[in-house]
Amino acid sequence: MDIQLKKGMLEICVLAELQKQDSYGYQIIKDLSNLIEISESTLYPILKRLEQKNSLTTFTLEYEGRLRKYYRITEYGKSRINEFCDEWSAVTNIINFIKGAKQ
Amino acid sequence: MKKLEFLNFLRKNLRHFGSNNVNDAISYYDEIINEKMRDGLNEYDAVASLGEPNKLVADTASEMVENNKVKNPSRGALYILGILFMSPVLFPLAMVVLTLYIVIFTVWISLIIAFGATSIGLVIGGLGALVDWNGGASLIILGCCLIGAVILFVLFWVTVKYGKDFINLITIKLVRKIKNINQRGTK
Repeated sequence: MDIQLKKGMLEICVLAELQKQDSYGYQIIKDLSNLIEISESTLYPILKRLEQKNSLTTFTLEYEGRLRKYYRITEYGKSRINEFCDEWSAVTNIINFIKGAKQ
Repeated sequence: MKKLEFLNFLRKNLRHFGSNNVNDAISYYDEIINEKMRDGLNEYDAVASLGEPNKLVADTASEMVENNKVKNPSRGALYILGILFMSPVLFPLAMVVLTLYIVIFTVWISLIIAFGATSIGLVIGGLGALVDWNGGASLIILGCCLIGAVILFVLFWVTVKYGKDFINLITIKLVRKIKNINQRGTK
């Protein structure tokens, strides 16, 4: 898949995962890896970018004596998911057009 | 590699990229490794599953440069270059980037020298026309030389002043390319 496209998709996937519940790094990877190829080193910059753009906030909880950094989606983050879905319907139209032209 | 060894490797290689950035990255990977071990992996496998450490460092550092978290992108890029050179897989890429850098710097320095030298040369030439006094013609030559010298001096000054910004801009673009190539290579 095109890298820029995948990057955009991954950001939205992470946001969608957080819309279900607050989550932490490793859990996000486990949940998303069935769906899309994602590694620890890919997730880290994505989380940083989303945090920088105020799409998510972070907090730390203790779990079995160790600290876990949790990520929580913001209202702005939620609005980005909606935006993506709206834009995507336009993309679907384009794809149909491309498929139609091939035949 | 053991966890502590790995985290020290990160700290050592990312040390030029700001302590906040580094601590954040380290606590992220520390947490991931702990979770993997809790999931049943042994320490070595948990670290190994993160991929080649050099690549990981290069990726993390590129991201910091690209997102403007580093004060001096050019210097950051040089450090990234150093990291690339340490990895056998990334060595060819490092050579390409290094060559590009040398070309850009050479062009920049050449321009500065060319503009500066020509500007000085024109002033001297104009004064020479005065020595070889030829009436009004000498004054016209001097005038032309001075105008030329001023224009070249402005070009010289602009090159010196904005060259750095320009190189930083190119650097950020270059780093983005490196990162994309790097990530493509991970697959």
